[in-house]
Amino acid sequence: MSLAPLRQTTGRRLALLTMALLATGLLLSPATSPDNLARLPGALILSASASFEQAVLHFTLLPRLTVALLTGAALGFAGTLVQQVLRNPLAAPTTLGVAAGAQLVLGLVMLLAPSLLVWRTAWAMAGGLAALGLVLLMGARRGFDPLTLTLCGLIVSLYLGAINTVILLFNQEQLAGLFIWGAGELSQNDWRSTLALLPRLLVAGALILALWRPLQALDLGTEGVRSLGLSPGITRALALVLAVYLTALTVSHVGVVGFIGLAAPALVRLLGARTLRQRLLASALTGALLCLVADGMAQQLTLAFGHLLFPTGAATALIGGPVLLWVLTRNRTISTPPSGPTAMAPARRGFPVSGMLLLGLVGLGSLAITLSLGPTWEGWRWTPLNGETALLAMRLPRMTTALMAGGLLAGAGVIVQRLTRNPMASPELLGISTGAAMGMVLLVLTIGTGSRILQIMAGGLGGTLVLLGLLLLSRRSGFSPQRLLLGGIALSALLDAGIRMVLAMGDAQAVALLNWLAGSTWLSGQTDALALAVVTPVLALLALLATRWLDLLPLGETAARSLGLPLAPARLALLLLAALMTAAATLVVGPLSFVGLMAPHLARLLGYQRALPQLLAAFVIGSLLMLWADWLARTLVYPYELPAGLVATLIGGGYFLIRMARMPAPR
Amino acid sequence: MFRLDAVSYRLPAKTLLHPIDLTIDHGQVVGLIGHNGSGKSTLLKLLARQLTPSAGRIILEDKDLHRWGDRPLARQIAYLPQQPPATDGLTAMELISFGRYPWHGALGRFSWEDQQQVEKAMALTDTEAFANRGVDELSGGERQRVWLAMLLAQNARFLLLDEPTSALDVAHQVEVLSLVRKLGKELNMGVVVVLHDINMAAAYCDHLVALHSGRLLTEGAPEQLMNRDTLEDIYGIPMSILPHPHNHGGRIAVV
Repeated sequence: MSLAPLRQTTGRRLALLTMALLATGLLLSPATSPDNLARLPGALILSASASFEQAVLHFTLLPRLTVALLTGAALGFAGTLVQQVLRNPLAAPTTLGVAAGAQLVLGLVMLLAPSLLVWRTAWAMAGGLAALGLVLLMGARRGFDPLTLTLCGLIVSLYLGAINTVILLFNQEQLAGLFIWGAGELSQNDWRSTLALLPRLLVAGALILALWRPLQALDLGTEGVRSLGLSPGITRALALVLAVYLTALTVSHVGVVGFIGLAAPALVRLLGARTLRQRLLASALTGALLCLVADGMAQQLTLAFGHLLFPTGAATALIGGPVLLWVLTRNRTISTPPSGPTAMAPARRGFPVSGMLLLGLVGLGSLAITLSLGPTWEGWRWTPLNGETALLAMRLPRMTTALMAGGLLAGAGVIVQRLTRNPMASPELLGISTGAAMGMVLLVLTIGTGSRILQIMAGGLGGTLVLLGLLLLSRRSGFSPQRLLLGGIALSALLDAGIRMVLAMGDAQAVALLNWLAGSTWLSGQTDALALAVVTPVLALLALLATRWLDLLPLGETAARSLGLPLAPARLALLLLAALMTAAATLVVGPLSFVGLMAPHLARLLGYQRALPQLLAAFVIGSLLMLWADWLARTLVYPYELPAGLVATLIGGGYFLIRMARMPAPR
Repeated sequence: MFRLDAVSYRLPAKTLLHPIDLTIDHGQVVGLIGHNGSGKSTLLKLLARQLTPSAGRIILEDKDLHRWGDRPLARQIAYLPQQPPATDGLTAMELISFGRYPWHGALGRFSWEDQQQVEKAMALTDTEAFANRGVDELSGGERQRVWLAMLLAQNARFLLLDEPTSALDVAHQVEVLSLVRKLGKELNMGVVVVLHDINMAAAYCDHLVALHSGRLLTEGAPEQLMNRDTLEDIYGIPMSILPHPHNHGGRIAVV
């Protein structure tokens, strides 16, 4: 086949995107406004006679421009590298817990020893690398197998993120600055960051380009790499260290600029770059320009609104999201990324009747304990023994809510992971939780907190709109999972940016939102509980009816189609079902990332591989996890409360990491 | 019966299959032969409805192929791709049972009849021994037999096999091909099989279809195609034809 014309169009498309981004970036960036361009000659090398404006240009605007470019380039590099190593187009540098680790260490330092904050960069770097160390430690036993690394990275990331949120909830005033940092803040007042970033980026970039051949070989899978005389483990570890170093570098200087590491490599791939070297260079360039545009926009918005500070990290998603969506609608063919990792194979069990019985018994016991045992003003009490039915009536709704929501999200997780054949997929990637969250945020901003019904309606509307958008986007491709995930991520990032911006504006309402975002059960009253108790069994039953489809879909399109599975209708139906499940749960308890992502994996770790047992086990695991999380959330710091979603992450994540560590190394 | 009426398949930059007419009947083992990139797999995918023809019509049992429902079609045609997908922790038995989907559907009960068909398929392919082992843990040949068993459990009227023997040693190649042939005759199935080895194709197929650069070069009984000139046309290198030492009337090609 003639490849030359194909390459040319790729080059032309990339050049077009580059030009468009560059022009937009220069147009938006204050450093390159017509006035400032005239001042440029005098501002580059500052003389004694320089004007005030020239000094501003020299000390803040120009360094900000270079930092934006360098940050974007570093993240583009890092993103491509991480996606290559983890063999997953959803992976991003932040997947490995770098940002969460850095944020945790910074938060702790800020609280415990504020005077040590002068070494902010070093602390952030240490936190990021420590998080990666943890992930690599877990992965080392299994030869840095991509799936293990991915899952451990996700858990570490979620885990540290949960701790961060807990700390943040209890120390809002002291840590307000972390909000802004967490959303990426590029403002500069000298050239120090540029001078720190530039040489390190050059060295790391050169090292990465030197490594591109062994890295490209990772496409061949573990056996292929080994047969070329390379050690896959060392190659992967080395590449990840480089990627994370670059990410930690940017995080320590400018905070978390999230979306670029995911969007730049995805864009470049969609536009047709194939070899790793093409992708590395192109995504560094695209990343740099995306970041430039985003930062320009953030500055313009900040100027326009005067009193508000728009963080660049949030703006990256506002830019990157639409660009990604646009490219997704334009391109019919997607050059498929290297196929994702398949399952870890723990000890199998047949149809898990005895296991299910055990889970059921544990469930009943859990119900009895969590319903009746709890701290009161007079200390710990077994409530029913005292006949205090009032307390029971207070506990029952939230427990029901926790049980149902946990089960729903876990079920949705199983469906989404099987549908997309991606172990990193989780219900929120469909963007429905974020859509619901955005609906609520807008409600809070425009009308105020509003009544519960109003909140649920706003959330429902937000979720529905996102789902419709996603369906429209993927309709033409027969709801192809690849497109769905990328579209969902783009939409989620876009909405998430909005939410983070609201949070960064930081008023009291933001804190209430933060609680909901962390998944809290205490808001739920009897109506919520009742509604969920009605809806859940229906949706669960529908999911159980779809198990045959869920069994066949992971075999891929060809096999599923040749067995007579109606591909597009089945995907659409499952997507709608997962969406309904997510929406029902999210509206009541907030987006619980952990349960939907991890419950399916926990079920697999227990040996439930087929769709039906996996679904049943995930339902039970998700429900119990949320039940206990809810109980701990209200007893641990009594009379205060923690969001149950956070507690679920802490228990579930801990259990998962222990299980992973005990699993035998692969043959 | 399959009838192809001026069927072609084009990509934007290249035509993979020029208009082709062909008839494939039940009870026949048809071998698709040709050089790499000659369009064999494309033709097979068109028959399996994995691809839609750019022009022309494929008619299966007097009905346009694209007008068949998904499951009715899967009861007619079982297709084995060149590279079967990863199976992600499934056991052999579970995978083979998936072959019954076209019969019981999304909601139907997995009946006694379904169980019988699965057991029969396993017996025919000699896969009972690893019924409860993970498909990913099996050797290439064992895995191929498990996939073949899944196709048999599907109990279709046509088997479409894309290089089913490429992962097998000579003994298993012979075993699989004679099994496919036997089933074709006993159950009156139509078998279309892409084969690389011209001698295997000649020995086990009733009818050979030779493709070259996306065009139908020639078709006929193996005896008709097994001669110097035709083989050189097909593969582009000179070959010698020898009489088979044991099998009377058979011929073998050597390079």
